[in-house]
Amino acid sequence: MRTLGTRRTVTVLMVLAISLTAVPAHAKCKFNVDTIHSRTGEKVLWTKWDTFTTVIIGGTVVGAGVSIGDMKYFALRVDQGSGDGELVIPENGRLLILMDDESILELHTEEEVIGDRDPWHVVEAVVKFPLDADTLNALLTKRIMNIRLQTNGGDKDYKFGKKGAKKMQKVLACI
Amino acid sequence: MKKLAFSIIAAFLLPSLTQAQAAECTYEPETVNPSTNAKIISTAWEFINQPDELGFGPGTKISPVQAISDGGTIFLAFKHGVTHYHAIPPEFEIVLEESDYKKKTGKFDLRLKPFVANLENRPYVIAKGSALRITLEDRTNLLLYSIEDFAYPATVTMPQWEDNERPDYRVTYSEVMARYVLDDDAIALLSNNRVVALRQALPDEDRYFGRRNLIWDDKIITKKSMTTIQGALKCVL
Repeated sequence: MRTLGTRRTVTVLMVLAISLTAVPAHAKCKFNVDTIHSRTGEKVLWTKWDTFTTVIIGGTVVGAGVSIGDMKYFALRVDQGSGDGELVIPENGRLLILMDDESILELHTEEEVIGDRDPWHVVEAVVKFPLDADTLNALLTKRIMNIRLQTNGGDKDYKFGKKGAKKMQKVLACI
Repeated sequence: MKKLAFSIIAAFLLPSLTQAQAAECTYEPETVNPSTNAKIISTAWEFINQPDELGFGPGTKISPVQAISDGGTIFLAFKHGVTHYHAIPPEFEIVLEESDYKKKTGKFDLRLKPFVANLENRPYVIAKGSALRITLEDRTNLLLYSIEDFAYPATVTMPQWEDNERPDYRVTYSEVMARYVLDDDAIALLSNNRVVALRQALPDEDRYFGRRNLIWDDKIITKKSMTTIQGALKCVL
């Protein structure tokens, strides 16, 4: 009887240990949006915004991972002073991503995005780029060096630091 | 016995609940549409709020909202606020006045009484067909369209006094009202989803920099405010 009790205890402890150590990666993910699509009923997730860039080339850029049903997106939030005019990313606007193996990924927007002007007169645009499985895999396995975003005011370049590249992979892993 | 008890409780409770809901609706005086003779029911204007974290202080009131039923057609009306930066036109007199402020600071106060009249003549409108962008919680947008030209301003507030460092430059805040028509889809979307932001493009004239541009009246609103919009809609449906 005592042996049986000990075995039970060991089994319970093992189950507990496994359940504690096998926490899925996305369990640490934080989401700004976790809701149902208003028109299609699909699950919609937007991770919390995270800063990826160092201010060496261009300004800072923050990003998020987005999941709408089966579709995955990489979202960017970019801004500029209102003195530079409106910030528009055209429909089919291009985002080039330079990876550490010198390959370049090319993503395109699905719609035109016009930046919002906040009360302090900073213009800010949120633009999302659809990701196919290969692109997502590349972003999760290779390091991002730079990105180049097409806007109405010309291309905007942002440099990713090592930490930023890792943070971005964590964010994308959440979706 | 239990069924009977429930029936008695329901018979007393349900009507009082319905009355309580109806009591939450407050209305403007009823009017009649002169071209259709249809009854127009409008809820009282209610403020919606911005989240405290935007830095304007707790419970900053923005964009009052009103729901309207005009013969069964449903509208939402908003008053959009906009801050203008503009130079004082030379034809208006600048009055320098001695005051306690002058004694304390050594600076004159400026008073610009005719300025309000000037604002009233400025050609700011929300044009018929211009869109109000409503962002829902899932980050998709719903566009509502204004049904006619709405002239500026609905109300104007302006600082009466400023120091004399920039006598040629002033900041004023104004509001303009616009009504937007809702179809069945829009009513369903607004009734069942949370709104997180509103945006209406307003034309602006910047006399100081000598240019005209569009500015966005952006509103990020709280959960409580969503209840306000949905509550107003319920009152006219």
